[in-house]
Amino acid sequence: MSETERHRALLDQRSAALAARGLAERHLGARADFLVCAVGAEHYGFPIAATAAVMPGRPCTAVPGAPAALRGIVAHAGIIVSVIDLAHVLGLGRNGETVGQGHFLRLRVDGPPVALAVDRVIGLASVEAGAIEAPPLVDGRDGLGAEAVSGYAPAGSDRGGSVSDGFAIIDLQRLLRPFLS
Amino acid sequence: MSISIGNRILLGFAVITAILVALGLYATSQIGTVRETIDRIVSRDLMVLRQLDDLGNRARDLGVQRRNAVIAVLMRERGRSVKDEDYYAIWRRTAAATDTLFADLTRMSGEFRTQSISSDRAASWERLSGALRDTLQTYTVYRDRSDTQLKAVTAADFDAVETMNAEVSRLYEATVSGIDQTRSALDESIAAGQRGATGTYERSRLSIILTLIGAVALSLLVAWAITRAVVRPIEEVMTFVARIGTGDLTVRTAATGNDEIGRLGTTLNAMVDNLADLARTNRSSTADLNAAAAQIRASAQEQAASVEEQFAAVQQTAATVDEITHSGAQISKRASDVIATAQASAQNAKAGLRAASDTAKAMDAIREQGEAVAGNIVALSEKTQAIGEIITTVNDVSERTHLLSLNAAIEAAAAGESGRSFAIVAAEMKLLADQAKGATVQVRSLLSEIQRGINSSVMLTEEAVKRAAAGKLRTDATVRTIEEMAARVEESVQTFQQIVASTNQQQLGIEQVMGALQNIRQASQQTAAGTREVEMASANLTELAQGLMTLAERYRL
Repeated sequence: MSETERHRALLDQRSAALAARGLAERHLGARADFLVCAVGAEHYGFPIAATAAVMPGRPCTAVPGAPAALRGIVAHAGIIVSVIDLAHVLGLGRNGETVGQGHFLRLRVDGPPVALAVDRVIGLASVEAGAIEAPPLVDGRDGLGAEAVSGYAPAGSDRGGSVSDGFAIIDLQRLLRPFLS
Repeated sequence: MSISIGNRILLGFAVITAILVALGLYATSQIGTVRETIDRIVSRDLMVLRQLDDLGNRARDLGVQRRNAVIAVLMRERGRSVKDEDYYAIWRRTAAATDTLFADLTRMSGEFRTQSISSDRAASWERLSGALRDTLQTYTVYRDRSDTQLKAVTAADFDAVETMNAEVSRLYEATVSGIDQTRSALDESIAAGQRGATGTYERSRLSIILTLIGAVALSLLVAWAITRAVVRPIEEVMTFVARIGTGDLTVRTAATGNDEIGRLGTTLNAMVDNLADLARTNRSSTADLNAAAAQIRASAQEQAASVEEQFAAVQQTAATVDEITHSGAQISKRASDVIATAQASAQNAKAGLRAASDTAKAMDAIREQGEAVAGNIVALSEKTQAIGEIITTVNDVSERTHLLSLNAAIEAAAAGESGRSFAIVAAEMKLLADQAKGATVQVRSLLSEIQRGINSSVMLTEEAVKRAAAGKLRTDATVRTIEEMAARVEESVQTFQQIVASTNQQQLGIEQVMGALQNIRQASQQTAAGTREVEMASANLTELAQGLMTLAERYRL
């Protein structure tokens, strides 16, 4: 495989993607945009209006007496931001594994500024409102750590085309309730 | 009994001397007693004898004076003139002296009777005293009558004188005879005195003889004691010495005091100890000598056997040397053949050496080229590393772009509808960033494949270089081996030449060896004779040692 052949294949793939986007946008209804993040093997989506910024992960200053999920505080754009480990909050139990790596997702919420530590912010997903499914219930109750999940976007529901896998939609109010109350 | 022997003998002599001195003193005193007795008897008897003689003379004087008075009366009667003398007065004086004599005698006889030395003598003194009293009575009558007659003479009574004269004369005679009897009684007393003196002498002699016998017995006792004190220990010591003389060295004398015998015993004990040590040493030395003699004899016998073997070996050696002489000539011939072959081998080895040197040079060239290839590949690898770093930078840029596009999309969403077109640009930017990231991933995988190929090339090139070096080493080893082989062949040629020369010398030497073997044979015969003599001498020595052992066994330890 020569260099020119590979370059040509990349350009062709890109052209096809651009062409498909323009075609889909014409007959689309109401949509919701979500910022999709990866935590371990799981993907979670946040409403884009609730996000303030994305920044590269870096070491945090630990706060004495803080809850286990609070990784620490960092300074960003002149303000102090509290960093909460999303994996810990969702009970995935991978706290400390990705310290100094990954991305911080700063949220746009009432109260003190808060950022969530995730493995990677994958991209922007634009999902039709009708494609969003209700969260699965186990024995009539929410699953473990699922009390903050408000819905589930199945794979292929992204009309933008940049997020191929399905993801769980997080309700930030419910997620952050223990920390902001 | 710690008195020394000399003191014992001296004590014995002193005792005997004391006995002799006592005996002499006693004998002297006895002799003095005898002499005193005799003196006393002689002096008394002589005194009484003199008194009696005096008394007799007085009695006769009395008679003569009375007669003269009577004769004067008669003359006057006849008318003749006579010298007028007082006869009576003279007579009176004489009579008084006679009375005194009588009284003395009576007193002396009484005294002597009481002091007499024997009853015999006392009886003789008694008889003498009785005779004296009788004579005194007769004398008293005679004196009274004579007094009356002399008064009559004075009165010139002639008749009276005439009548009385016969009686007075008879009394006179009686008195004189009485005195003579007394004298004879005195003689008896003298004889009794002689007997008394003889008795005293006999007693003294008897007592001296008894004392002498006692002294002799005492001296014998002292001599026996000396013998017992001196001779018995000496006999014990002599018995002890006699046992030592028979060889019994286990005994020790008990005589160990402070006297001469004790010191002699102590010295003898020490001497016996030394003798026992000497005998013990002598016995062990003799045993050693015996063992040594036996060893010498065994060695001599072994030597005789080995001399026999030696003799046989010399015979065999002579035969072998003959064979060596024959084989030596063959060795010389074969060695000459080997020399020719070895010289041909040396020529071949030089040709092989040249070929091996060429191979070594070719190997060196291969190795140098391989090293150059390896250097090029390493440079290539470094370039690949630089490309990897560039890819890392590009990846970083794409990641930043990814975040930047996400933030842009967030800002666009925040702007609402007016940010709609900006959101499209942001999505475009994100797409580019994702594609750049995928390209870097592909480049990175390609680079890792290239790196693997480079690494394997490097390893293969290094292997080739190593193999070339090993080939060079082996070729060098071959060269050295061939050189050594050539040198060895040269040495072999020289060695075989030396072998030929040595074989020739060996032939000469073997002839000398034959002569020497002849000498050895003669010497072996002489050695055999000498060994027999040594064996006989060692046998004699063994007998001698056994005799010494027997002598040493005499001493009991």
